[in-house]
Amino acid sequence: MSEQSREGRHENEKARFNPINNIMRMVSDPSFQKTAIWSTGSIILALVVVSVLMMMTGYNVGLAFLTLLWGAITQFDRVLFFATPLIFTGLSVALAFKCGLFNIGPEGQVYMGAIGAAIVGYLVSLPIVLHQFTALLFGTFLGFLYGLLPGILKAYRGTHEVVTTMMMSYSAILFTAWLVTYPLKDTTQALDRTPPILVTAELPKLIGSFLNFSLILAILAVIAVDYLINKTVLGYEMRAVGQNPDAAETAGINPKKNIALALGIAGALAGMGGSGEILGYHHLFQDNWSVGLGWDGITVAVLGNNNPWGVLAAAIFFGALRAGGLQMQRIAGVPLEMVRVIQGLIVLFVAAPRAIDWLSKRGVDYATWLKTDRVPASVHLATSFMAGASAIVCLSVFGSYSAMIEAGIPGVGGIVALLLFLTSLVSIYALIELLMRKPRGLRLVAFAAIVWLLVAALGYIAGSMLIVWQSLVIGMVSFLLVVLVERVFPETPLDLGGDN
Amino acid sequence: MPQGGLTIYAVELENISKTFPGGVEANKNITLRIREGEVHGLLGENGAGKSTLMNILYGFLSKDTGRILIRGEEVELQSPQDAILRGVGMVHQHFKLIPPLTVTENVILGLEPVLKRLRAERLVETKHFSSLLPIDFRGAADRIRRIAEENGLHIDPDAKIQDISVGLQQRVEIIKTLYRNADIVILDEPTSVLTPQEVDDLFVTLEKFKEAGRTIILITHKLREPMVLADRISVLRDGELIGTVNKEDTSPEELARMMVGRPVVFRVEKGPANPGGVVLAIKDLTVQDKRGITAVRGINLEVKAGEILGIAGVEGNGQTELVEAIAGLLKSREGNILLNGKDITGLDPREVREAGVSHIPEDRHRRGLILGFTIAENSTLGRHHRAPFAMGPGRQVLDLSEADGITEALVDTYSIKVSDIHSLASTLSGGNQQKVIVARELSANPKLILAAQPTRGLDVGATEYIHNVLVSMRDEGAAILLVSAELDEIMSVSDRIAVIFDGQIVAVKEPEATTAEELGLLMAGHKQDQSSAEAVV
Amino acid sequence: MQTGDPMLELMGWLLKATLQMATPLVLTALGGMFSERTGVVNIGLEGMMLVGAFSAVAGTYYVGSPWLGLIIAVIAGGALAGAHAIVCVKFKGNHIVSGTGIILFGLGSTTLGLQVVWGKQGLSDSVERIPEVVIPQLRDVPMLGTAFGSLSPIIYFMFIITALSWYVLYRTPFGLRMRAAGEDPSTLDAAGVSVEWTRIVGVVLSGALAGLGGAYLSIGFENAFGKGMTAGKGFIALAALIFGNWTPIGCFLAGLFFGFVTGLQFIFPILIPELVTLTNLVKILPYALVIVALAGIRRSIPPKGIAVPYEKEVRV
Repeated sequence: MSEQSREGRHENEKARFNPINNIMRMVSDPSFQKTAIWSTGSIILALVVVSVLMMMTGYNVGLAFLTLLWGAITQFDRVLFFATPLIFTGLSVALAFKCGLFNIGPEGQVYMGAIGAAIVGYLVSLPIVLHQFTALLFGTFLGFLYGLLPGILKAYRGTHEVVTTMMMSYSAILFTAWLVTYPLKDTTQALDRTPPILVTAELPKLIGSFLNFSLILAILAVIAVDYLINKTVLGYEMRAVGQNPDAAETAGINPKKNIALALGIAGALAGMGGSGEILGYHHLFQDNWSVGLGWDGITVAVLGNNNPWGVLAAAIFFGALRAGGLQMQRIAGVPLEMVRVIQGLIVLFVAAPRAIDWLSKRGVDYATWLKTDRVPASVHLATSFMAGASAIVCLSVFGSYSAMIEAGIPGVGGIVALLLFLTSLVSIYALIELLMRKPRGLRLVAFAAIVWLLVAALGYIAGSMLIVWQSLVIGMVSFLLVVLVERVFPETPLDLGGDN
Repeated sequence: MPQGGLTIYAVELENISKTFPGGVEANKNITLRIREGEVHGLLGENGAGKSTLMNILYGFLSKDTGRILIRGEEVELQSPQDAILRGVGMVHQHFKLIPPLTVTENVILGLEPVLKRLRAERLVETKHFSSLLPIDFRGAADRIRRIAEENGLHIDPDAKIQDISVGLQQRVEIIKTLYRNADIVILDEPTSVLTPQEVDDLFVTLEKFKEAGRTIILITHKLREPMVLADRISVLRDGELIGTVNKEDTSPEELARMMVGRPVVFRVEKGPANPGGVVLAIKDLTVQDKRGITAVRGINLEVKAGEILGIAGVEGNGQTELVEAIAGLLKSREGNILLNGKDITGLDPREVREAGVSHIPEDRHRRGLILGFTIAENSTLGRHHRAPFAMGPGRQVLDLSEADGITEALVDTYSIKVSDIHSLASTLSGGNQQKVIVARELSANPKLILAAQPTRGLDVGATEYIHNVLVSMRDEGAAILLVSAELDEIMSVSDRIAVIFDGQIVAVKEPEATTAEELGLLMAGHKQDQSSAEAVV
Repeated sequence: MQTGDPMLELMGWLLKATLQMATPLVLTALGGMFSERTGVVNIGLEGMMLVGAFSAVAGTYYVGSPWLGLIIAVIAGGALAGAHAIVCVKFKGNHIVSGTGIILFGLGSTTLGLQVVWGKQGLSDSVERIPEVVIPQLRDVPMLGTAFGSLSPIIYFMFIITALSWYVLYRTPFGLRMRAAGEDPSTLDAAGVSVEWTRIVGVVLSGALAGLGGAYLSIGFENAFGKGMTAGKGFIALAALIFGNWTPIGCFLAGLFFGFVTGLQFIFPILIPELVTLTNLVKILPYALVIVALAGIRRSIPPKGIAVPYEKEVRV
């Protein structure tokens, strides 16, 4: 793991503990800036890929992103509301990660915390404040136990936490489902859920009908985790174990204790998140109430580079994505699941910071080339652009394949679709080769252009004028550009060598 | 052949430069010509760029600039495959062998003979389509057996690498180059893991190679070896070629000067020891390693205050486990470890530390440092939980300014070259990383210092420094247990030498009253059984 | 259905359920083995299974032949694994983070696909299944008839692929290279074989097999795709891989064992009708037993070079 550069924060300043100072120092750190570039780059790349995906599936990309943005900006209270549990689960994953553990099952810990809070919330009757506190504490404690168990298994039996936390996550969902179907079911209701918690256990609302006190708890948790990791002996030992368990052991640190405890605290954080959700908003535990808070937590931690403040920022970003995503679903008709796809892609890209480094280096290269060699560079750039466009249009036309079948000529439609799909792959490859300034990219674009002309002919047979025109335009322009690069600027320094 | 008017070069390296991604300039414009059929010594300190240069010739690393000619033909080496096909073979310092696989599997890796017309006899490069055909294991084993016999290198092709001794592993590496028909053989520090007797065997083998007309390049940092074996010697320092000399025209002193850039003192300057009371007493200690194999078999040892006890032995004879058992990292099966008369057997590493034991681990990256931590964080590692570093309720809050202050002081006293104590330990050079560990461990005022391979991989300057620090700690009254694979180090630093073989102490000697040859025989277990040199199998 | 000794029938039924439940696990675990033996951790198996399951149904729906659907699933799984391979091998990314991305992408894209293709939320339209292999001679034999009388051909594939995996891993040059890539990539590199290609092929192979395992779920066992239908099977396969000590036979046996445990949950309510109210608890059984099994094994040794990106250009 190349964590060293990322971990390189100036954690030992002489200043007293001060969150604002901490943030300022973090922002001015070059390694932080690099991480920020990686995270932002990943988001941008993911959005680009998702745009293509939306085109493929026939959604209106512009409208989708506009509504997404609009939804996120206009409903800031909902953004924060959605962000709240993600802060908790994100911190949970991040803290475990600092100790070298991958807590992949915060979902289960959230469920245990939630059911704990719900039980105390409706079964026990206590005065206000004390009731909320007890319910929260019990939920957190259940989460702690639920994290501690895989922690102990990892520490003393070497059982891989990725498998155990996931298995326990599924178990928790099934277990709570059973609880609310039988022993704890509110028999007055048809749905499988507990009775509502008492008013004394409800957390106060902050603004509107969504945002509640658990947000405050979440922010306190961010500060507490930051303090724990960076300013305490326990945090120091956890980080030591996470970085190099052998060296930690040699230095007299007990890796087993720290591993068990780190997963326990991670579970407690997730459990507190679950409790907060129940006490602050849902007010009862219903079967399957949370869909994917755990997965979101992993994404948030990964995007926030396992830094508490990064987690906070990433959680707000995902809250915005979710709030905006609902708007997008309502107005642009793009399913909310698109948000999950974006998440997956972001995580995938964050895992490959070098891809982003490479792309940004290419960008700088092009910029300098454009300055020195204006005309050939812009022609070359245009060719790359055409390759990209060709790939995108291919995929989007491919998406309307089913429409073509319904148009009545499945045979030709099938051939066209297959051709288009292959061409899109060729074009993507061409784009990559062109970005590396390899001459092969040019030949591939020429090949794609010929296929486009073929598609135009087939489209004519299939009777779809849209395909004919699109294909003709893309094919001709690509062809022209290739000819231009090959014949007019044969001295174009295509192969500038080494991309390392 | 070389005597004729024109010298035939097996290898010509012209103006080779190489900078690593981290910015280290390993080779600076090196031009080196190796004659056909000669033994060429490539001498230099650790980090001088010898291995890098040869890895470039082997196609394992890419060069930044320069040309490579093999038998007068310019070549572009994209991968080791290209070098192998041109007859270049290399025995790496850290063997390129895979422990759980058999000798045969290791030897044929990359050039697997498959059944179906292709015979192992006809060494044919496996193409993609044929890589899913069954391997001709029997043919390969036969060929290996024949090569082994022809060269007097006995080996069992079906043995697993993890079950055979280091000396035999090296044999497998040599057979690997022969299997690939290499006639230019590069050996990278081949003697560092061998006993003096095994070294002699190796030299016999190499003489045989030379007679067979093979060209041999011998990379080493030891002066003795090229003086025995080589025809010509090239010296590298800091990535630059200092010069190439004929063996007849040079002396060890001249080579040392070329290598280090200044005259070298071969012995550590130290006064006589004034041993005090017994600090460490080990009684009938038996320890199993992590795999459950008994590694230490009933060792009895004493280390007195103000004395350095050196443990000599070929690696893998129980030294590691002995040290780890004392440090509390391994639990002992039987026996007792006493520190100043107090039983510390079975205590955990923290308790052992608190009792006054410091530990310089043999692998600084695995056990000594946390590379992703800053230098300041590393400097308090092991003491971070005590005052003055830990404050507040239950000593749970770190006082970072205290850690910074002490780190600054350590950096000063031990002259560690750092730009900022808040930069990561991974940014330091190997010598400075080791100094951080030594500074941290010695500043704890230990009664006993466990120093395992404290100078491994360091250059002469850093080695001298660490030796001097250890000697001065001895003079202040600390007991020091020194474990080293370098016989020279053991002989020059220790006050008493214990030889370990197969988990037992076979002899305790005074350095003045023994010789390297005697120790070598003891290290190979020859005391009990003079006849079989293969006892280690 | 024939009438016979009810206990024997139950045994036969359990045998069949074991085979059915084990098939996706064994296939996916074998896939994971190819990836991890070359040194790339693949926790994205779950996502690859999901994508395989979805594309099998979608492919069958569009093309009309479940066999072609099966091939499409294998390709789709392989393609998704290709993304994992590029991130992990080409760009030296963190294997576990990348795998999580693959899972998230698999979850999201398949649920999205349900809406795009069928306009449905939870369950796709039914499609044609892969026809089962019926052995008429066995039909009337008690127990065996129930167990083996009519099975999906993918179950037979599973046996063949297990044997084939063993052959490839231990008897061919490619297998030797894969094992070397996972144990010590620099040795493989020094032997003149591309570590990157060996690893990429291993990972893509793992995705293809996971895709096949997923396809079995959707068009071999069921006849439609349901949201999140793998329900952690990718992780159970991962556990089977660890339990099976990264060997083909081990994966096979561990897969059968976990398949048996999963099959039990169908048997229990039949044996003890009072358990019906505890259905959800019984469903926990396989997950819990996976944890117990993993915690119980003494030691399983992963390949040495696992999860470590291979960097050639470092000072040696």
